[in-house]
Amino acid sequence: MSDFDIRRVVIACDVQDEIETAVREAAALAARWGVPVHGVFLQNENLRRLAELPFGRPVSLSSPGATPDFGTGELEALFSAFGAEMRRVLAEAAEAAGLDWSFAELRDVPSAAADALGAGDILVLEARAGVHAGAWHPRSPWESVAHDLGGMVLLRRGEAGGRRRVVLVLGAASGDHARSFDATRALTQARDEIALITIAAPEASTDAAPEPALTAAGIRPTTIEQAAGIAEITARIATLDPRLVVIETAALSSEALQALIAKTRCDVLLVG
Amino acid sequence: MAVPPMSNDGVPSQLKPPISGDAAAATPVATGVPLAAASLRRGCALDELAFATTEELADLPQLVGQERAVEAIRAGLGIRHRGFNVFAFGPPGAGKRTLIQQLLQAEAATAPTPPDWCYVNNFADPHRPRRLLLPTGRASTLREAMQHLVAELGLALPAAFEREDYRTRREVIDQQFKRRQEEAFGALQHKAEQKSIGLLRTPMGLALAPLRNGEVIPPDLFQRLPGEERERIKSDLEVLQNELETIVRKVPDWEREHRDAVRRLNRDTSSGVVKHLLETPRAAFADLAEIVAYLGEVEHDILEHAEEFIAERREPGDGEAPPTEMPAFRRYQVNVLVDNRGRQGAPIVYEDNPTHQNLVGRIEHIARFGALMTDFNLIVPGAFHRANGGYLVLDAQRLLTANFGWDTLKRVLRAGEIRTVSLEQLLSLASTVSLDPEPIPLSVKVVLIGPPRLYYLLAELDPDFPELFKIAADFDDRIDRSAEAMGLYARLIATGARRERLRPLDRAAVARVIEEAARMSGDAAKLTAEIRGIMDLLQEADHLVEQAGRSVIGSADVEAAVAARRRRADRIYRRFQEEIGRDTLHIETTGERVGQVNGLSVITLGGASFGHPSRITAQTRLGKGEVIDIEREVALGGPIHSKGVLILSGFLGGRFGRTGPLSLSASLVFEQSYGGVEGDSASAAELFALLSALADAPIRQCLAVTGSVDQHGRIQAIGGVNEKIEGFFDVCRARGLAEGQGVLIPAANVQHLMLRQDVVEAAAAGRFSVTPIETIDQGIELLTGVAAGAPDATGVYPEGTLNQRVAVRLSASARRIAALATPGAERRPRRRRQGEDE
Repeated sequence: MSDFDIRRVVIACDVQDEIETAVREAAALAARWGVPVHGVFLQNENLRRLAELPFGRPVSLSSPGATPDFGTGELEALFSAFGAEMRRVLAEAAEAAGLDWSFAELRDVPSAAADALGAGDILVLEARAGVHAGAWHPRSPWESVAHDLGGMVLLRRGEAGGRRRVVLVLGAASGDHARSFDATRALTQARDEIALITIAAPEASTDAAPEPALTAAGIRPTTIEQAAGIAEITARIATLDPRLVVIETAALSSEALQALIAKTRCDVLLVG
Repeated sequence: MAVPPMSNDGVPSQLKPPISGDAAAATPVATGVPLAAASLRRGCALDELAFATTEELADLPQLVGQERAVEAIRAGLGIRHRGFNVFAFGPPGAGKRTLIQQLLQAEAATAPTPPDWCYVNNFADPHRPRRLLLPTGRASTLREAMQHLVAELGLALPAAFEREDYRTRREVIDQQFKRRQEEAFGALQHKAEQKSIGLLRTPMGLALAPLRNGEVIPPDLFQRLPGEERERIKSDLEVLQNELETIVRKVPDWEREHRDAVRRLNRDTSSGVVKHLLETPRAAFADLAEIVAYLGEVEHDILEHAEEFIAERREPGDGEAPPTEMPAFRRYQVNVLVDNRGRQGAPIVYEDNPTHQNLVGRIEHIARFGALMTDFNLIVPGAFHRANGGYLVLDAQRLLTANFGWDTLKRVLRAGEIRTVSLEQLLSLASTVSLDPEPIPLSVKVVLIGPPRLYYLLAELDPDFPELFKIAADFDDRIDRSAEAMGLYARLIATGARRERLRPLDRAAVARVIEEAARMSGDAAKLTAEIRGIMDLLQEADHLVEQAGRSVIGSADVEAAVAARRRRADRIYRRFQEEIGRDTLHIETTGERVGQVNGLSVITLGGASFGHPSRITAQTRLGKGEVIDIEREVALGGPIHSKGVLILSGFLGGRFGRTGPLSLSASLVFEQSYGGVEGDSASAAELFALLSALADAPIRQCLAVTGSVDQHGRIQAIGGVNEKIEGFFDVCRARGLAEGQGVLIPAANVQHLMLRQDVVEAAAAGRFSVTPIETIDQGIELLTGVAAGAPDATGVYPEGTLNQRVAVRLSASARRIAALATPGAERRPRRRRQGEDE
């Protein structure tokens, strides 16, 4: 057993379309655990620089031919508006659920991360595809560094549908996975099927499968598989088609982790 | 004392029986002499009834004496052509509804059971719901089949969409779409990165920016770059910007293609499931081309909207509405408007409140998210729907007073179809979008029930009426009192008593009821057809028997019920009698008076009629021959009364003015009458008063008179003869019957006499008389005791006769007027002749 204990749900946003959905889902998680919800709005510094440059007008995704004005004044106004909107939505959602809430606006990722990932925090990142850009969009600054943030980061994709399967991707079978198990238990529901994929090290033995530890954490896996590399893990996940993948970040290289996240469509919980 | 409007004959003129016909059928009676007591009331002899109690009598299948109406109704029901609807009219309580019900039930039992009707969604135009015709009893089968189909689809379709093969194919499509975008944007991003340019997401869309170490180049640094490099960056950005715009422009097309591909996949996936589930209903309705076509439309629509079954799916037991009730699936429901399952024969529908909506149905609405919504499931059938293929019975009076009931009935019958439309739409008062359901063809026989007045008014005032109601079923208000009819009447009484769970009647009671039926008809030779009145009487008698703890209704019980009923209704009558007794209303019943006679009137209030005497007086003076009807002068006389008075003038002119103008005027009045006077039954009395005044011959006040008169002085029948005689009798009896008291009545009314037993007994004892008369001369002789006198060949009446006295008076008046017209005549009075007035 670990001392795993979720104390706060942090919802991180930058300028994007789905603030309301993201905030409400984060508030729902916080309500489930009975913890406060904290909002962090990132005012991306790169956008400020872009706004000061004499070129690079944005291409509107809803009307490609349009070339809207994009100066410093417009950007600051937009930041202010987005921030206020997120605060309002967060307050409404938290109050509706009877939760304590707080909100911060920060200018760069490191300071935002410091604010967002304290002990016992779970950071929820909105990472679903943009409405106008179909299934593709450039990553937000949060997503770009999610695997490096450490702590517990939940990438919300919003493509769970009606599926009931959760996949755990663990490092070596013999490692200490108590934190991952606890996190999985916190995010699973009674009817979920749990599938376990352990990353097979050359010296690993199937005898060392963490079933007792799982059972102790209240998890009864229905599938236990071993995978040798990132391609195999990705293929297994695609086959299992889960609603949530829990990944121990320490078990994979940064590149492998990025590739796995990029090829996974459902929600992903990174356990650092 | 003010009195209510009254009629001198108690019968509305337009409904008056053809008096000449009645008179023609009358048995000749001796006139000018009092009738024997036996002629005053035609009792029902017990030997005319061959049973002990009504328990022995079989039920009567239908009404007595309504053969004409029965024949008409049967004709109306039998003729299937348009417009042969039936209007049944007759007096209230004549059993119209019961008879019609009996005839309809007999007809409907052998008629074919009509088909079912339902409304379904019109997938091409949901605002015009489609009607479907199904053989009897199969509409509900279709409804259940569609409910089952939707329920099955709610389970089978999501299951199909969760199968591995579907998900794999869907994944392929999604991946193709994603790949397409990723390839396009990825290639652009890669190309940009090659040139140290990044693709950023901004609040306004995607933007390209030069990078240094993964971050956008600071503006001041950019400004410090060599001009050549700045230009290169700008140039690269411009090219990439164009490419980005090109890609973004393609995104909507890709999304559309993606949606189309997903829709095709969904159709393919759903198709097998839907086809399979539709096999059962298709097989069940394979014989009905219209239903098969409808199921084809259902299949097409489900395939087009298969995603909704997945989106609307709910886990079992989570308290949600069943699939068929979910908004997305309501369009597959079947609204069974008419379900004739289990019915044998044609329907008979009685609509008590025939408003527009209750006739053609209505379109209801439900509130959803603050807006009022409707669909074909909310179409509610009306009486026409329920009666389609059968019979619709309506109360005409209610139909005419109900909201647009009559207009709607005519519109539907003319069109031959039921169009369910709200009143607001009909009157163009609402412009909101509503439904316009396909009209349903109508085949119905409408039977209206109402009073005769309504029938005649409609026939006269509404040109559509004769086209739509070609059959008039005229219920008689009375039937002949033949021996056979009395036997049937007894069975009718027995049937009614059993139906109303009353105690049986013994023979004497039945006889007494028959006598009362004759009295109610106002004719000793007839029996009333107003069965409701008879049944009310029986119920009241039964109540008395119940209180007495007996098991059979006897004649005394019927008599007591009749008396009680009369007593309840006689407050006004008693008031009249009281005021006459106190001489507030001055009526003389003894002595003699010139120019004054007791006329008789009838007042009808709330269904009860009673008679009372009225003092009629006449005054004469010099004039030009006109008879002034004071009632008319003050607008209290009705037209028929005025007609009667004008006839007097005709009579006087014809008898006494053949050789010269009448040089005398007269005025007539109903003394102490402060209400309206109508009818001509006092015209004979008025003429008697006038002749008395002209001849200066006093009239015996112990007699009262009723009867109308023609221009030749013949006395004619009137209505309400029994009530009138009884009214005078009661006045006389209250004062103690004196010698000579009685009533003169038209000889033609003798056949109508059905007097109270106490009047008959007084007549038998010689204390009251009823004397028929045929002519004015006969009447005036009885009233004055002076011979009327017949003219000789030269037109001269015998000396001392009443007519001679009138002629002398008129002649004297003529000379007086002539003298007054001559200048100086006033100064040279001539010698008076004997017998001349001054």
